[in-house]
Amino acid sequence: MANILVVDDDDDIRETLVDYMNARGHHAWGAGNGREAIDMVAKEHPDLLITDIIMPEKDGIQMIIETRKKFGDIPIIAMSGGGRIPASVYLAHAKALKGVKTLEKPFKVTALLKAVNELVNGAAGQ
Amino acid sequence: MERINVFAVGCDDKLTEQLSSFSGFSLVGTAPDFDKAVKTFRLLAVSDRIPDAILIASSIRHDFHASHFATLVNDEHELTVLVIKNPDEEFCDDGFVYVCSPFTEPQLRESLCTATKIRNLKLGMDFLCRNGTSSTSREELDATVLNEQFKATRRLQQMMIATVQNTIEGIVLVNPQGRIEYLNKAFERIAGKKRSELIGKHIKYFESNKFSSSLLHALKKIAISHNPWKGNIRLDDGIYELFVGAIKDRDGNLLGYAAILADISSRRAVENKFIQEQKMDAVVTLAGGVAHDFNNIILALQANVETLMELRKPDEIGEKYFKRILAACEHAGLMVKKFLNLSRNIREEISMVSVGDTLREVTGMLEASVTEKISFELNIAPECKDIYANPGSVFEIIMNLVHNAMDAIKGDSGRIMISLEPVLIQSENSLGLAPGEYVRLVVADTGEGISDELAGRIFEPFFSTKKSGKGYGLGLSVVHQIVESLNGHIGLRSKPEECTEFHVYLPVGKQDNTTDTDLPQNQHSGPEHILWICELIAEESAELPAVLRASGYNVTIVCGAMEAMDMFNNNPLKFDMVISDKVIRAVDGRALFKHIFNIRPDIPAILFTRQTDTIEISLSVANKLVMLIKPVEEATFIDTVKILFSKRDLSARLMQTPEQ
Repeated sequence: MANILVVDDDDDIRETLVDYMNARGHHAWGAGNGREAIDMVAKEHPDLLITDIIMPEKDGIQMIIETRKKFGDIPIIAMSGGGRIPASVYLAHAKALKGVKTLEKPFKVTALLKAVNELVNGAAGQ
Repeated sequence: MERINVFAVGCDDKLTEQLSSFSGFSLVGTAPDFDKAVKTFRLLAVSDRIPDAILIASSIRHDFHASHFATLVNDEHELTVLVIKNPDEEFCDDGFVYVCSPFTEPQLRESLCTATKIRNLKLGMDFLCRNGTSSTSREELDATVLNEQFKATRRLQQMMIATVQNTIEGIVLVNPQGRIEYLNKAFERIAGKKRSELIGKHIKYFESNKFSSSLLHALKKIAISHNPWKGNIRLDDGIYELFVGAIKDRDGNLLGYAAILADISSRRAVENKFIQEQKMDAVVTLAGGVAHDFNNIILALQANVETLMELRKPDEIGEKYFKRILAACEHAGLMVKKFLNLSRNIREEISMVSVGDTLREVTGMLEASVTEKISFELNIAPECKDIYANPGSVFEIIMNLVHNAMDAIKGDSGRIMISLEPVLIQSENSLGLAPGEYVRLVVADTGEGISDELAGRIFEPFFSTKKSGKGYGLGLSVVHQIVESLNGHIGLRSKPEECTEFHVYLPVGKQDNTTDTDLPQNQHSGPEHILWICELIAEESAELPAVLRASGYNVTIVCGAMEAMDMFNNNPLKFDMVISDKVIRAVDGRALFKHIFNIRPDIPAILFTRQTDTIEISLSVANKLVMLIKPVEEATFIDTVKILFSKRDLSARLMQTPEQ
């Protein structure tokens, strides 16, 4: 069981993923943007972050970098549906970081669960 | 009685005073000599106060040259000149009219009349001399003048007729009853009939009904509204703009109508092309904007269904329906991807690709899935060379064309013939291709074919001949876009109910036109354009860009890696150098530069770093990438920029010379 913070400005995505992770035996909750997420990481010390990239207030990349600086190597899953620029380009930034996995939207929730388990187990194994 | 305006030159004060005292005269100016007179005259001419006559003191009469005033009045002969002589002076016959001082007002008036008459006579004589007529009588003079005017008018008329005759617009003149009185050559051509066949006929007898009815319609409208009529009509050989107007005499009586037909087909073609480009732009914008939201929606749907399936373990029937939803989600996801491909001109993973191998791969895949009624015939010439492209794009071209062919086949059975062969394109070709080696891919099917009208629209996005639900109408527009981006050509030949053939020409080998030809031009026109990337706009960034600008470079400042990438993607060729104020957020900066070098491996770059930074940049572009440690001296900085640009020029030259 891991404590998971799901960061996405899209309510449907955030709630769906929180529910799914909770249903699969994790403890998950959500944040609507990067700024909120940073506050929550500071307060609630999640074991893992699942974050969107393009968000208002503070985007995913900024959030990831700030998290890394302030809170060390929390495992992170970055996801993006792209926009004018392909998702793969956005995600390329995130990919370059240690302990970050990336998923292009739309993905299968089973793929997300697999990534979560790998990261949590990997972190636990270290 | 109207006062006579006179100008006195070289007259003494006494004379001037006398002239001023005459009530029938107005002294508009005086001058001591002709130099001054011309200057004063110029001022008078400006205010349109040219005097009727010049009075000249006889002492300076020999200095007078009418030509001095020629530029100031319409014609030098128009000036009436009267010389004022002293009583003791002898009369001399030198062509001037004289008046003896002192004189009375009537005397002056009479002398001026004489002078004017003589001037007029001279005018007439000159005119006659010029025209070689010896007659001097007033009537004949008038007749000659009239004749001259008539001749000029005639000449003008002839010029007008010749213009109307030979202009590229078709012109018809019609009498008020609608009968043809005149038509020019261009109109003969458009109507396809000789002038003699049409003169006197009523316009309703034109071969083309469309033209006749438009013209009749126009004439009726004009009869009611009196306004000219303008409209477009499509005739057999093109689109024309028809302008019809009434011709009236000076008193407003209707003489007839003029109809002017201008061929605007080519203008239309240009306009259509422009509209097409605008449409594509709109699609691109739409694609980018919508894709992000669409992916979120699809993910929300898919994730919830998956969650339901996992948590509730549905029965067999439930499973069936859930799977359908998931299949639809997957389909939707693919569509968004396809749609996005339209908007992306990012060249990803470009390498040498064998079109032949890709063909075998695609047909192998499809053959397994198609019903037996469709047979594939594959004909790949072994000598075909590889092309330089994104393998995925080549796959997509072939997949879409073959799919399209399969969809076109209806009924019992059909064949799909695919061939690939090398072709050499000459410099003058109808396809608009650059000369060189190409491979030609032909995908032909024995399907239902497509009409010419639809063929013109087949590459438009969202255009589909398939029933709704069968296709999105994106496949061929994606193919078109890819082929264009590879500097190739796609065309089709079709016979309705028989067959359709798509011809795709793709340039062989490393024919990266954008970097070989466009780029150096782009770089050498005007000042170099530098993209300056910084983290925060205020942060110590203002100083060095200002130095660059002062050195004549064009600098665009952008904040943030994402924004920079966006800006770069929008127009990668716009920039000649990239400078990062400092390495933007470690990871970001690296990915950003990787991305930039992927698109423009040739672009020089400068990265600022601090000694304390321990960032590894392992980009394989060492020769064009310079790291500078901050703080850096202005001179060093500018030198670095200059050296980088000179290196670039060198490499651009090297790129142009053929390498073996």
